[in-house]
Amino acid sequence: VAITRDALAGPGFLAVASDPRAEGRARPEDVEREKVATLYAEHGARIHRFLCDLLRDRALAADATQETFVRALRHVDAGRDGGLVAPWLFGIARNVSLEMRRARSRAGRVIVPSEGASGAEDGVAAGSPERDLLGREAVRIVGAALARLSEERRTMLLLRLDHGLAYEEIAATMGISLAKVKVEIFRARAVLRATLAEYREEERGAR
Amino acid sequence: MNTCARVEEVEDMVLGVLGGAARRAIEEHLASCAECREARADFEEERALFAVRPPRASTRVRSAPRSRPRSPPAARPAAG
Repeated sequence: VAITRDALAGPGFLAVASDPRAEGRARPEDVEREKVATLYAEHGARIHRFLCDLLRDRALAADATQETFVRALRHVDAGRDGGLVAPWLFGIARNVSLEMRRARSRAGRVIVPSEGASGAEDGVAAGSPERDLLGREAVRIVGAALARLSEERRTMLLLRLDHGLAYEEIAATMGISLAKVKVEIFRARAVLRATLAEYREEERGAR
Repeated sequence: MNTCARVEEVEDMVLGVLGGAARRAIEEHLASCAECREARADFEEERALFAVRPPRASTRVRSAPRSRPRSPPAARPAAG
């Protein structure tokens, strides 16, 4: 199925479910699709945000979001009785982002988290001028801090502070021990605080 | 790292994932624990940095289809 990136603005790629030829018959694929459509409606936005932060490339993140839900569709019933949905989906998303990074570096194009060079202008449409200013500053500071972290620490910091996952959920997402998650997030937060302090120092100097 | 064992609960409170009773309990604890109050201030500040960012602010729009008219995303055919 050919899918445009724009289709991800909504669950467009899931709309294939209404194939006119299948009218009157409840095909198993449709039932599956229905499940993923529900999943997408609930988690699509946060998974896309997460992938934007990991890949720092919106077009790539849109592809990765699509791939995440395609994989989720494949495994929606497999071995997941009553398990937590968020760690499962974030885990798939992270694997997809790792694969995309690898594919890119093989193609000679390494994705480097670009410090400061973020699309703060994206958010200008919404909110008050004050909030926009705060938002732009936050985008810069967070972007700079994330650029300093290893992929693993960056992922964990995002899961905790941006997405509010519990430490246990993060351990499940990453497939590592709870103790290690706590230590790594502690270190990542120290980097975030140092970045924030530097930013404030600069601001003071500029005045 | 932290010495008070309840710092994690404080973080959960900031994240808004604590239920009524747990929330009241940790608020009570906060009144008597300076370390947790400091942890709360730090965590709130860090959380705000992430939360205040626009929904998709972290990447540059590389291929913004500005010239194309906007159509409802779900109805758009896969022509791209």
